[in-house]
Amino acid sequence: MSAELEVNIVRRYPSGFEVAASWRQPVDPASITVLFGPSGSGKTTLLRCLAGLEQPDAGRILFDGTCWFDAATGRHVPPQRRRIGFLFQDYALFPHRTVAGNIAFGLAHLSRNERRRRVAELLALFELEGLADRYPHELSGGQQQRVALARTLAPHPRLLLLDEPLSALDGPTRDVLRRKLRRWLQALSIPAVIVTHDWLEASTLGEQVLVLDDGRVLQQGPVAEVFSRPASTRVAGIVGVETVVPGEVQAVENGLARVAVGTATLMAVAPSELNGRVHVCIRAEEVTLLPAPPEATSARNRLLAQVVRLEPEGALVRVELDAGFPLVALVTRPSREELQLEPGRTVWALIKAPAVHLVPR
Amino acid sequence: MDWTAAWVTLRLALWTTGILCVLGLPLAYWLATTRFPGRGVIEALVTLPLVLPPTVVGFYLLVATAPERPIGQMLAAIGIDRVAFTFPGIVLGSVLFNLPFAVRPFTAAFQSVERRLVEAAWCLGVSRWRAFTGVVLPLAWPGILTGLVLSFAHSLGEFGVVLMVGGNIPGVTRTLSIAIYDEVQALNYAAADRMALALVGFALGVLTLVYLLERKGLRR
Repeated sequence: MSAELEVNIVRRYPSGFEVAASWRQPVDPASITVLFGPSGSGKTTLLRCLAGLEQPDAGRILFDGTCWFDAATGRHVPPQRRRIGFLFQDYALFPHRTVAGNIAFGLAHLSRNERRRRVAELLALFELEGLADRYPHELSGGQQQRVALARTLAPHPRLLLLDEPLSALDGPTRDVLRRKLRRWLQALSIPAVIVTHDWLEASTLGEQVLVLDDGRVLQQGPVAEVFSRPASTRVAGIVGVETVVPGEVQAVENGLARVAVGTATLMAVAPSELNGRVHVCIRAEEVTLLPAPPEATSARNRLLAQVVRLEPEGALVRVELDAGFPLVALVTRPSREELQLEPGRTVWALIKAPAVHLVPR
Repeated sequence: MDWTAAWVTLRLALWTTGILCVLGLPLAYWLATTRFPGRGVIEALVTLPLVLPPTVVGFYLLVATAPERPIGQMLAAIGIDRVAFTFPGIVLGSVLFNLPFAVRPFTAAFQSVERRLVEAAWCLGVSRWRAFTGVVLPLAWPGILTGLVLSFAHSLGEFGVVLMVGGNIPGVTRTLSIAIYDEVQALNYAAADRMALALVGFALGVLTLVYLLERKGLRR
C-alpha cells in the first residue's frame, strides 16, 4: 500500500443536499490539497468527514493503508484515534485555559517535563514566547490563529485539516500569516487538506485543488492549471477569472488559435479538441498595461484599449477596459499613476498567448 | 429555635442536592446534547414539578411507592422498605420536587458550551470523558453551581411534599418549615418568627451568592 490519503465519499442531508468528492494525495512526501468553492458548497462538510466529526453516507476513506471509514463494512474510526490536527475557522480556543494550557491540552499522554518541553518548542516556533500565561481573549486575531495552529500541531498529527485558516484575520495580518503558514507547512512536511474560498490562499498554499459548487466537484487538478485553465465558465467564475467573454475560433495554426472576440482578435494556445464557439478566460493579473505600443515583446496579443472604470482593491487597482470586448486588468497604485490611468484614456494591453484560455461553449 | 428540626432540614437539603448532582448532571448533559425526538416530553416531565402543587407530587409518590407496587419493590431492593413517614421518603419527594431547579440550569449551562470546543478537544486525541471534564465542566461550572445552590436553598424550605410523604415526626421528618407551621397553629408566634427569620436570612444569603457567582461567570 502506498503512503496515500484516498477519499471517496458521499454525504447526504435530509434536505436533499448532497456533497460528493473523491481524490487521492500523497502522504509521504507530504502534499497539500485545497478544497475551493463558495460558502455552502460543501467544503467544510468534506473536512469534517475527514476528521470523523461527521459520518459520510457512502464511500470510504483510507489513510496510509488504514481504513478510517467504510460505509460498506460500517467502519468508522472516531476523531480521537485518527491522529489528525483540525484547525477551526474561528480557532475554537479553550477560553478558560491559558495559551500554554491550550497547547498542552492534547499532550496529556506525555510526562510533565516532556509536555513542558513540547509547549516551549511550539511557543518558539510560532513566535508566541511571552504569551504563555495569557488567556485567548487577551490575544490579537493573528496571535489566536498561531496559538490554534500550535495546539493543533502539538500532538504530532499525521494529517492537518485547516478550515479557512486565514479568513477571520484582517488584511495585513492575513498577508503576513499566509506567507508564514506556507513556510511552516513546508518545514513540518505534514500532509494537509485546506478549505478556502480565497484564491490567493489556495494558490499560495495548495498543490492540488478541487473546485466545489453546490456539493459537486466541478474540476480538480494542479492548482496552477485549474486556476489558469478553468474547465467551464462556472469554474472560471468561482476561481475568480475576471474576464470571461464569448468568442469564435477562426483558425488553428502551429498550436495557436486565432479567436475573434467582440471586435478584436486574440491569439491563444489551442487545446487539442476545439470547435468554433468558445469562452475566452483571462486572469486580470496576466494583463500588462503600457502607455505606448511596445517595441519588442514576446506577448502575442497587443490591444488598444480604452479605460472604462477604475476601482481600488487594497494595494491594487482594478481597471475595466474596452478592448473591443470587456477586459479587466490589475495594476499597482504606483503604476496607475505612472500610466495616468483615468476613464476615457487609451492604453495598450499586452496578453501572452498561454494566458488566453479557451473553454468550449 | 427547634434545633432538631434544623438538623433534619439541613440533612434533607444536603441529601437532595447530592442526589440531584449525581442524577441531574448526566440527565442534563443528555438533554443538552441529544437529538432524540422525544426530548421535549422528557423536558416537560422534568419541569412538571415546577407547576404541580407539592401535594400532588407527594400523593403520587405515596401511591407509586406502596410496598406492593413495582417501584416500592425496587426501593425495597436498595434498602428502602418504606417511603411513608421515613427520612428516605422525604428525600425522595424532595429530589423529585427539586428536579427542575437543578436540571434546568444544568441543561442551560451545558448548552452554552460551544460544540466546536468539544470537537476541538476530540480532534486533539482526547477521550470523550477528558473532553467533558477538561472543557465542558469548567465552562459550564457557574451554571451548574447555580443549579446546585438553587435546589439546596429550595429544599431547605420544602413543606408540601414533606408533609404529605413524611408527616410530622420530630427528629425524622419534621423540618423547619413544618415546625414553623406547628408553632403558628399553637399561636406561638415568637418561636415561629425566629425560625422564619433564620430561613429568610439563609435563603437571602444563598441567593446573593448565586448572583455573585453568575456575575463572575459572565465576566469570563
